[in-house]
Amino acid sequence: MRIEFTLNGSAIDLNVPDGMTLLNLLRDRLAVHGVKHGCESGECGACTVLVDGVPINACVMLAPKAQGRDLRTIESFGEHPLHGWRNSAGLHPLQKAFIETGAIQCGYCTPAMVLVADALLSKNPSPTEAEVRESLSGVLCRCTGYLKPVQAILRAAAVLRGEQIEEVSELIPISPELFNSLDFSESDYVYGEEDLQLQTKVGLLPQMQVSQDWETRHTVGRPEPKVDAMKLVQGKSAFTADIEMRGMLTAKLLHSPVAHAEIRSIDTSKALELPGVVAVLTWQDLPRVVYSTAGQSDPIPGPLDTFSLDKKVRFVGDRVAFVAAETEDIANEALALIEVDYKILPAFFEAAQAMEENAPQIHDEPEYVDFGDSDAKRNLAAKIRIDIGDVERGFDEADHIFEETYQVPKVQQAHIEPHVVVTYWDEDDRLVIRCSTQVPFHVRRQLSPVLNLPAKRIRVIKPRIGGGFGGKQEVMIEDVAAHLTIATGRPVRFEYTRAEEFYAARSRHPMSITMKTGVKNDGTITANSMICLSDTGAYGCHALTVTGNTGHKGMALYVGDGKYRQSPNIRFYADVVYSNTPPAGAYRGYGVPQGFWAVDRQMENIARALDLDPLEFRLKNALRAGELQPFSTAWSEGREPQPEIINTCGLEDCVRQGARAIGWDSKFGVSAWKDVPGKPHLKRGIGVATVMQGTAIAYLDMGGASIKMNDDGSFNLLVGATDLGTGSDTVLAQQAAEVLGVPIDDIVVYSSDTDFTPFDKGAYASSTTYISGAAVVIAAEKVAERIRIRAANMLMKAGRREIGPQDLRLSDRKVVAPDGSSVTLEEVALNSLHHEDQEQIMAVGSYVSPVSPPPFAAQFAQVQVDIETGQVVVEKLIMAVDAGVIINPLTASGQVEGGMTQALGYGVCEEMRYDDAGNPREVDFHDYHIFSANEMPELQTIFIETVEPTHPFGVKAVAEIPIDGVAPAVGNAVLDACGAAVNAAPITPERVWTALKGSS
Amino acid sequence: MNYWDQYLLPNSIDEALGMLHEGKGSAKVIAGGTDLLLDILQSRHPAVDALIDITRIPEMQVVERAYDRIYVGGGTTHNDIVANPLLQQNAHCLVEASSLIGGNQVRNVATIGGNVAHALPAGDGSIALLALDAEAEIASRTSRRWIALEDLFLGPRKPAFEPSKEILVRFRFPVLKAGESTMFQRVMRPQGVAIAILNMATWTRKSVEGIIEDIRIAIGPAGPKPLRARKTEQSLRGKAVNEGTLSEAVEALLEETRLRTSPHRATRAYRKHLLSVLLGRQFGNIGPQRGR
Ligand SMILES: Cc1cc2nc3c(=O)[nH]c(=O)nc-3n(C[C@H](O)[C@H](O)[C@H](O)COP(=O)(O)OP(=O)(O)OC[C@H]3O[C@@H](n4cnc5c(N)ncnc54)[C@H](O)[C@@H]3O)c2cc1C
Ligand code: FES
Ligand code: FES
Repeated sequence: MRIEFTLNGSAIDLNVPDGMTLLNLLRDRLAVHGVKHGCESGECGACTVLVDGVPINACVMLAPKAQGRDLRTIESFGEHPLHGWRNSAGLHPLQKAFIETGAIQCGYCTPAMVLVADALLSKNPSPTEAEVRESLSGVLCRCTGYLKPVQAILRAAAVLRGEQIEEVSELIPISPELFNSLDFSESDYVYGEEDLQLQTKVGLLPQMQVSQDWETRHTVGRPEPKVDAMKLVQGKSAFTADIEMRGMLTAKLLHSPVAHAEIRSIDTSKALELPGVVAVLTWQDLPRVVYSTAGQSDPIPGPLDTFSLDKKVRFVGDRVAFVAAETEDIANEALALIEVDYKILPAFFEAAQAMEENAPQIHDEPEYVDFGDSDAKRNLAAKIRIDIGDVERGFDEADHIFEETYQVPKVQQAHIEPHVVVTYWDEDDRLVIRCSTQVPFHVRRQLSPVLNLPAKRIRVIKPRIGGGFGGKQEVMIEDVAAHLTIATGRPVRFEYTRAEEFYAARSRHPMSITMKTGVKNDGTITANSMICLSDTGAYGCHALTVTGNTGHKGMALYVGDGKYRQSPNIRFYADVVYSNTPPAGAYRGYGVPQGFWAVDRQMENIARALDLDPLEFRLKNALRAGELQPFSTAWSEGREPQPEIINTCGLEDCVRQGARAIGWDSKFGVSAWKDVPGKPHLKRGIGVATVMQGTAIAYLDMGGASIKMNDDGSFNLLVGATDLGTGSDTVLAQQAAEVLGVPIDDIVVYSSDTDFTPFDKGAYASSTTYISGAAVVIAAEKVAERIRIRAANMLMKAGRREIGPQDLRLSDRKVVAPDGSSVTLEEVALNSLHHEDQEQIMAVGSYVSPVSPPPFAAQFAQVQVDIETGQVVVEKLIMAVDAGVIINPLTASGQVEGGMTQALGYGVCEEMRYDDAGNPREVDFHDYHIFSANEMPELQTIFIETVEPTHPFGVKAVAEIPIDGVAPAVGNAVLDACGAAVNAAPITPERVWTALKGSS
Repeated sequence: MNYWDQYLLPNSIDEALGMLHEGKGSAKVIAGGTDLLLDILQSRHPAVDALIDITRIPEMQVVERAYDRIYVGGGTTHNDIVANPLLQQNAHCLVEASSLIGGNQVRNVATIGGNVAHALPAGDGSIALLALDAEAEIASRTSRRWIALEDLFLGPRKPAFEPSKEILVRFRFPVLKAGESTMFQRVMRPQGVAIAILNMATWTRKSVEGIIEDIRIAIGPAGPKPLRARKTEQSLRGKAVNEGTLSEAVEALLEETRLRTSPHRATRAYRKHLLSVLLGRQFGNIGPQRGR
């Protein structure tokens, strides 16, 4: 049908095919890439468009509805302020505010947020925070926790009203002296009442106890705007799917409708006859190469049990066939025409059944390659048996033994950008794989045998990523497009739907964990044991390493006190089993949140049973600086373990400052506080959890960086590190800029392209700022050294007396001598490239660490429980964290806020379940709820800096630890509020209600 | 894929009815499309020849008061309902229900007519309108008629009118008088707007002494269609609210609701319990705790 409308001020008049949604019209026909999508069902809001000024979801609006309307997308907003000789209007105040406040992480939801904010502000120039949150409520963001987007909108509103506002850099509440005088008392914030003036008391920036060197630095430690924010806030075509190629085909995957079966036969003839279908591939068409989809270093620390396509299916959603067609509709139609004859096999969906006598064997293929103690015959993907000290003797020495079993659910990473890949042959017949991945170098290495193509003939490019959280630490769908490009010779795009993300992607391993702890009357832990049954689903990707970390971090924190500090008694046994469910994999936290749900709930139970102060009890037994990470000599991701001493531990300060911030002393055990006046059905509670994580994998994770100096004194920084929205490009640029004495603008970052950048193992294990950052500093130091040598010559030639390079200092785009004389970096660059003794000033650095220094944190939760319905409202989450020196308080607190928000879902509502036939119950954001802006509790971040000696600036990790303690803190707070002991996460209303019934 | 051949944008009800007529049973009304589009794309709905978009018909957008009745056009969006002072005053339960539907962008296009015509047992708008004793005006080529909301549902996704021939034009219900009040409650997963475990809307008229003179209770999901809890209402009529009358009412309510265990939502036992809590709260002056 023919329609006419206005798009961003231009008249459009065109024919649209039947059934086309406005989303497809805008993205596929009109290449308006600022409109994103993250579902196909009106839930995520990424596809927001303004229609006559009103925000709507373009995916649930038919194109013909645009008839006669005025449409606006992010493309109609501002642009980069510098456009050469042409005058530029610059960015819109909303866009500026989003950049300044750090409201952009992956940036995938940003265009939608800007649009809904614009619609709000044009109606209501002075919105309250509650109104801002309500307007944002239809845009799901998995990265930020919404605090900064809300602040951005309030800030932009003030600017648009003509008010004077402070620069973000002026807002930081830091400096060592300042910290102690800061009022960390609790804000009198009410949640759930009519007056929803939420959070306005909580600042944009975290509170910080900074280390001594903070003041001497010019960019490290400062809230620099993200280097990629400019393109993201304009909705530029920066993501994987945002490219157009002539002749590009769309791929689709046929998924198994049954949980366990052999494929007797597949008939693709009807599908192939359908006009527009270019290729259909089944297992018969592909080389049979066994591999693992886990994106990890060589050799893969897990079983090899996967084929691109197999003659057996192992879960509902497993792969059966690939289709490439001219359009998505044709590809979908073709799927329906493929006829498959399945020989149904018995299946099971509970981990507990996996090792039963007659359990069906999920992996009976002869090609299966074991790793460690895996045993496919027993459905055992990995097995861990670690005994540190003498646990039985420790139990004998205890006055009390506590034993309890805890459960954690399977949950989805739920990045808003689905998995997506585009493949094509370039003019050199090299296969280009442009994909949304956390591990571009692993993709190239691991796919090479699968595609039967030497790695040197593959180029992997990682553009911007719309969130990963571990879900993209997986070589999961790249092969589909690659096989189809090989088969057809044409470019292929393959993108998961939201439903596929639920039934055919990865997830967090569900576990059942039994704790047994020996404690003395004085609260000394004498022995601690964890027995863990972990469900890896149908494939063993990350099976060993995720569950290993459950113990390696979860069980390392509590060593005991007194003599037990020197020789703790710790046991960690785990069986990681297969089941006929979608595979689990890597998800932010990597096994550790599972561990701390059990460990910390156990600690709380012990403290309560023995009437010990929960804070002091935890600190009494927790690991301290100078002590051995007890697991470091026992296990190292399936490699040779080496002892690691904890250099820095700010846990005690975290506990004290976090407790102050939440008002612990005036609330914990104070029954008057627990009651809500006039509401006898409501009870308040408060809870804590203390946690630790790691920073990279010792002796394994390596990152590389190279830095090249340009004529104008700017630098290209090339890193293999993979920014998936976390801001790693930015913090790496800050570290380079700090060493080179330039503003961060002078660092042009290019990352993650296997042809152009040095190797990096990828974005996982919270390692980038630490490992890749150290590599950047090494490269920058080498470049700085060359600059100093040349500058010294230049200064001497200019008639100064003898100057040694070691006397020179790089600062403010200059090389400065002790007497104050200087040459600019531009002069040095011109001298080196054009004037004398020419050379390219350039260097490569790489780093691998002998330790994995743990960050530590105390996480606090305040809840309100409706004891009649069991509904839990989390009112406040506070995290005080020692993540070493903070390179960028904006991006780091963004990590904490977003991590806490994901973890909150883990605690109270997220869960993936299966019916008796193995069909998933949750396949969209309707049934699988993730938090929206108007449901959020107050979030507060406190950084307690320690200086980790193994990193040049003292950095430790921050990205994963926020995930670890929220669920147990909320669980402990619910227990505190009403006595409901819910041992299975998530803490749903019905579980609370059931627990209350049981306890009364 | 050909889901339909024609997309039509009529400007009046007569024009729309004519188009339906020409569609000979294979035409379909579309309003906001938020239910219909997903049904079609997910193949829960067969392909049709024509889609007839009723959102450009002015008559269907009107919200007005005439004498002692409020009229709400079937094409009114949920956000228009939320922002409407007349409805805020007279139909609190409807405003509350509409405000809880979907996200902001969905509420900007999804309509109250679509919510009711979709005929789900727990459609938030349907539950609220049922408590308001609303009637729906159904227009066919030859006539217009009013149907009480209670009679408008045959079963899940089955309205009691002919969707390929008729149009739901508007709703009407009495204005709120002294002593009358309405309320909407929804229990869901924690802080989630997503999954309604149970919805309840009530309309009550109390005497100055606090006696319930009249009452209407609507509940979903509690059976194949939105439920008017007639027996429960009867057990409360003419009584003062106290422990005794409440527990009788709860008994009656449990008897007339058909609660099931839904794997997504909650067990039967829990829902039963919730029913009694929600009912108690309608009268205990305890505001429901909304997770937002
Ligand atoms: C993300 C999301 C969240 C949602 N959340 C909720 C929720 O919380 N609660 C809830 O109740 N619903 C919810 N819905 C469902 C839906 O949005 C509402 O039911 C909405 O009111 C439907 O209105 P519509 O105008 O979009 O209907 P449409 O999809 O246009 O129509 C629905 C059906 O009604 C028919 N129809 C529509 N208007 C008329 C008319 N005037 N006369 C005759 N037939 C008509 C259509 O033919 C179709 O069969 C949600 C939907 C989405 C996408
Ligand atoms: S709401 Fe449209 S893509 Fe998710
Ligand atoms: S920044 Fe919102 S989804 Fe990533």
